[in-house]
Amino acid sequence: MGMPTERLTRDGREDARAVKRCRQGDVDAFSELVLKYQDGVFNVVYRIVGDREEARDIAQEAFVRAFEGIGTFNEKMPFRAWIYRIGTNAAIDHLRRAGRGREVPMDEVFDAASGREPSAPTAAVPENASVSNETSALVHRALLELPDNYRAAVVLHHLEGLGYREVGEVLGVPRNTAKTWAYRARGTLCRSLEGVI
Amino acid sequence: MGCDLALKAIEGLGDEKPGRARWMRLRRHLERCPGCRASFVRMKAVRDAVERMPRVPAPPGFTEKVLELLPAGTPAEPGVRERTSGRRGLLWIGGAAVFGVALAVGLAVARRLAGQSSMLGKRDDKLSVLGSA
Repeated sequence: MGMPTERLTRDGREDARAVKRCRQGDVDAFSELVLKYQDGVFNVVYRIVGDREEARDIAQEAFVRAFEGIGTFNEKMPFRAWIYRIGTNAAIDHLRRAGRGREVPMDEVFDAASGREPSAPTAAVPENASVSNETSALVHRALLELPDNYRAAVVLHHLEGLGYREVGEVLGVPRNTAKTWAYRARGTLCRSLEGVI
Repeated sequence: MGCDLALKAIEGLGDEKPGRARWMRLRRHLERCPGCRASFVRMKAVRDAVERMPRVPAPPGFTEKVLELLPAGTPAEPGVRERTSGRRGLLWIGGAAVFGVALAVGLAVARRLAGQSSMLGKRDDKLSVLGSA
C-alpha cells in the first residue's frame, strides 16, 4: 500500500538527491526541501484542522519528523507524497486527540446570517482572487464539517492538484478508495452548500 | 438516461469531463430534468469554488523555526539502524551461547567428579573388606 509504481519525475529525482545529501548531514539540503514544500504542507494541514496557529505547529512538527525519519525514507517514493503523508496524518491525529467535530473558531468564519465579517481573513487573498472571501469562508467551513478522510482527499486532489494515485499514497489507501472519498466529499459539499452556492 | 445515471455522471464531473457520448446523453437529460440540472449547476459551482480557494502560504519564519527544532546530529543512513540493532542481537546470542557452553562444561565436570568420588568410595569399602579378611 502506498508503494511507488512509477518512475520518479524530474522533480522527484531532484528531491531524491536532496534527501541523499540530508542523510550525509547536509542541513542546507533539508532546508531546501522545507522551503519547497512548506506552503503545500501548511495549506493541507490548515484546511484539515481549520486553525492557523495549530496548523503552523503541526506542519513544523511534520518536517521535524521527516528529518528524524529520513533514514527510513524509500527514495523510490516521491518525497512530496511522503511529506504530505506525514503532515496529513499529523493533522488528522491532532483532530482525533482533540475530539472530532470540534467547532470552527468563529473569528475565522463569515456568519452569513448576521453579516459579520471575520476579524482576520481566512487567507491572504490577493486582489485578483477569483473567489470572494465570503464564498471561500463558506466553503472552508463546509470542508471542516466533512469526515477527516473525505476532507483530506478533497484538499489533496482539488487544492493541491495531486492525482488520485498520489492521494492514495498519501492517505495509505488504494487509488479507487481515494477517488470514492473525494466523490462522497463533493456530494456532501453540494448538499451542505445548497442554497448558498 | 435516467436521473440515477445522470447524478452519477454529475458526481464524476468533479474530476473529469465524461466521454463525448455520455456527455451528450447527460446534456439531453439536463434539458428535460430541472432537478438534475440544478444538481449539475451546484456540483460545478462547488468544484470551482473548492479549486479556486486561495492557497494559504506558510507563515513568515516557518523554515527558520523548523531548522531550530531539528535535533542535533545527522539522521541515520538507511541500514545503519538495522546494522546496529543486528550487532546487539548477535552479542546477546553470543553471550547466551557462551553461557550455555560454560554450563554444559561445568555440569560435565561436576558429574565426572561425582563419579570419581563414588568409585573411590567403593574401592575403600573393598579394601576394608580385604583388610578384615
